[in-house]
Amino acid sequence: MIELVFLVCWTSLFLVTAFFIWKRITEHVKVYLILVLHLIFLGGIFYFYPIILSLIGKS
Amino acid sequence: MSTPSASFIIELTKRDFSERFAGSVLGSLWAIIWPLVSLFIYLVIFGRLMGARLPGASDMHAYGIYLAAGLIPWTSFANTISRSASVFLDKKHIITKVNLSLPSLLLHINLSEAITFLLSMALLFLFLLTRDYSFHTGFLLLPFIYYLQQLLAFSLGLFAAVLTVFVRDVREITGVILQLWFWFTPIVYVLDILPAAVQRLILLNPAYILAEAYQRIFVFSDFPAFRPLLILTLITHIFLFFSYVLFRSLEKDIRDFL
Repeated sequence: MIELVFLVCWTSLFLVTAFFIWKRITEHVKVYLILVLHLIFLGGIFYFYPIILSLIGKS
Repeated sequence: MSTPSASFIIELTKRDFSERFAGSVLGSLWAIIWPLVSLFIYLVIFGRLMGARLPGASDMHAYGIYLAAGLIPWTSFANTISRSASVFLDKKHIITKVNLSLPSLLLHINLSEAITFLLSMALLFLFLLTRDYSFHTGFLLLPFIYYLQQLLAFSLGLFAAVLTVFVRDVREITGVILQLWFWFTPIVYVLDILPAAVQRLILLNPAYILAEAYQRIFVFSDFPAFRPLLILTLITHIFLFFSYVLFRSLEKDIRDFL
C-alpha cells in the first residue's frame, strides 16, 4: 500500500510541476527543464522504490 | 518555433487511427490483431522448444506469458521508432503549409502506439484473469517502465526523423536495425540458450533491460532489476538531450529541405 502511495504522490508532484513549467515559462528553455524533470521523475521512481520495498521488508 | 499543444496532438492521433485503417471493416482492431498474430506464430514455432527452457516455470503456458510480456512492449517500441523515422516526410504536406511544432508529430505517434499497447495489455490481463493468475505489487511499475521505454523510442525516433529528411536511406536502415535488434533481444527465446560471451554482450542491450523488466514482473512474479533501469533512465535522457539539440540546430534546414 505504501508503495502505491509513493507512486501516486511522486507522479502527482511531477505532473503539477511539469504543468506549471509548461504554462508559466514562455522561453524555449522550458523544454530542457521538462527534460530534467523527467530525469528526476523516472530516476526517483527507480531509486526510491527499492528503498521503500526494503523498508517494508518486501525486497 | 511553436510549442506542441495537447489538443493538436490528440487531433493528430484521432486522424492517425482513422487514416491508417480507413475503409477496412475491422478498423482500429487491426492495430491489435497484428501483435496477436505474431504472438500466435512464435508460440506455435518456439513454444515447445523454449517453454522447456524457462527457469522455474517450464511449460507452454508460461512461455506464452513470457512471449506476450516481451512482444507487446517491443511492438510498441519498434513501431514508434519506425513510424517516427519517416514522420517528417509523411507529414510533409502539413509541415510546408502550417507552422506547427515538429516534435508534436512524433508525440502523436507515441500516443497512438500507447493506445494500441494499452488495448493489447488489456487483452493479456483478461487472459491472465481467466487463468487465476496472482497479481503482485510489481505490476504497479509497469506504467513507469513503459514510459521510460517510449521516451527512449521518442529520442531514437527523433534522431532518425531528422536524419531521414537529408538521407532517405535512414528510413530503410532503421527498419533493418530494428529487425536485427529484435533478434538480439531475448523476447522470443530465453537468454540461457546463448553462449556465455553473447549473454554478456546482450546485457548491454537497452531493449534487454526493458524486456527483462516486463518478463520478471509477468513470468517470475518478481520486481525488475532497479539498477539497470536507473542507468537506462540516465542514458535515455542523455540521448534525448542530444537528439533534441540536433533537431534544434537543423530545424530550419528541415523545413527548407521539405
